Amino acid sequence: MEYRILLVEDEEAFHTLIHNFLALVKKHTFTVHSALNGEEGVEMYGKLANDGQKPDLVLMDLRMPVMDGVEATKRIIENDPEANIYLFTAYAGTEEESNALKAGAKRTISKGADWNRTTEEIVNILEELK
Amino acid sequence: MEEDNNNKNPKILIVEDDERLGKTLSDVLEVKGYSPIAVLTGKEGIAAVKEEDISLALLDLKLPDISGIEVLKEIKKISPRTEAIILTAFASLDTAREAVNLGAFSYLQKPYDMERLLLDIRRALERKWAEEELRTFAETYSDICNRSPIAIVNVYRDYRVDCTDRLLEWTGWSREEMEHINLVKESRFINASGNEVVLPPLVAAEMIEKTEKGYIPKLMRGETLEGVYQCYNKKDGGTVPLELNSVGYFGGKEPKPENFVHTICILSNITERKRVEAKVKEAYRLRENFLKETTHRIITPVAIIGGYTDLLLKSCNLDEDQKEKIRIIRERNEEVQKLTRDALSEKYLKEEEEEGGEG
Repeated sequence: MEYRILLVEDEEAFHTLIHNFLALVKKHTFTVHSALNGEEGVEMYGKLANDGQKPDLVLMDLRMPVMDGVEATKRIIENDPEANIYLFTAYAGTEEESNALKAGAKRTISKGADWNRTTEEIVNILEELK
Repeated sequence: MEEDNNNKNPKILIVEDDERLGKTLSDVLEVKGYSPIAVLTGKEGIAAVKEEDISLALLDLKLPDISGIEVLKEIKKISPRTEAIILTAFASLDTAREAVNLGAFSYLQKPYDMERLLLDIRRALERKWAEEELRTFAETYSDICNRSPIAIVNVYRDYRVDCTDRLLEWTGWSREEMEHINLVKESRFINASGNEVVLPPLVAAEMIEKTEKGYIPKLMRGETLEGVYQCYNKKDGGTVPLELNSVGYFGGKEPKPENFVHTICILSNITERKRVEAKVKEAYRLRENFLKETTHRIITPVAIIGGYTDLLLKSCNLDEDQKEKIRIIRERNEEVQKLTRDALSEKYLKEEEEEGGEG
């Protein structure tokens, strides 16, 4: 299958890692769009949706400069209540996390030390979508 | 002039223009253990009260210079605690009433029965001594209460309060204001200058619920309150934090709501303690923030290191020895991740910050 992912994340190393790990998953093809903060993410989501290339999955970091993940989640959901936003965060149980979930994010994908698990989670979510 | 104080040979002033009668009275009193001073005129009587410590004055109403009533007025002015008994041949109900209103102990018509007079003298002196004893006790007690570092407060059924000076000092309310203030309701009164004064309840709004529905009914049932935290409204608009220990007063009867008279509350000012508590709380908050911030910052590089080690293990052609070394990095990195997760978990961050008090 072909999947489109929007990664909203201020730490560039995570972009590289996501690219690399998804490239190792041979059964699917992934296009990863990179946004470095919430504002860029909202903009990019809108643009992609307009072009008929709506992301299948948004991976949303919480703490970011310019616009944080809670606000970005709110704005994307405002325009597209169907948006598949998953929080991409290293720590669960924070107030930010619960605010983003209230705003319409589906759930949290752990951005931890075990990247095989993280990749697996992303793939599972995508496979269940279609 | 003041305070004869002990019951040994109390001085009795006799103001009697009939010299013979005065002498007889004087002799009898001396025999009975008193120290009589006999004078013939009102002015001499007044002078004697100024000079001597007179316990009791026997006043003839009809005197050559001024009336016995005038003498009585003067004596009460100079020495309010000197007792007086009026003796007269021309009794009228009006003068009798006037004399008693002016503070005379009794009023005897001439010729009086000597036994009756002696009985009245004894009773008048006994009353005086009892009052003095009570006054001394009350003064000592009130002095101790007012100088004590604690405040004593009585709250009555209608939530009026009565307190020692210390509470006035802490809250800034005047004695007059405190007399009109209500523990839980706004109150109004007209002050000496004729202006209406509106007083807020004494207890701060957030405490009123507890006081009205909790604390006071508890005390009325005979329960005690220990170490309860309360905030009293100050005149300047702020509040003063107090710690309360309290018990109901039931006039010696069974402690139940019907018999409740007032509470007796011992209040301590805990401003200093609250200030320290706030500082400690702030220190915990800062520590918590610091810990959170630090761990959040550590967790990102940890996740990146984890990512790259996994990537190396997965995608590169490494020999077993190289793989083993990377696995060690990975294991250690996971340890750091676990540590930061633990540090972020509630049990490490949340310190108990129980408020002293109860519902």
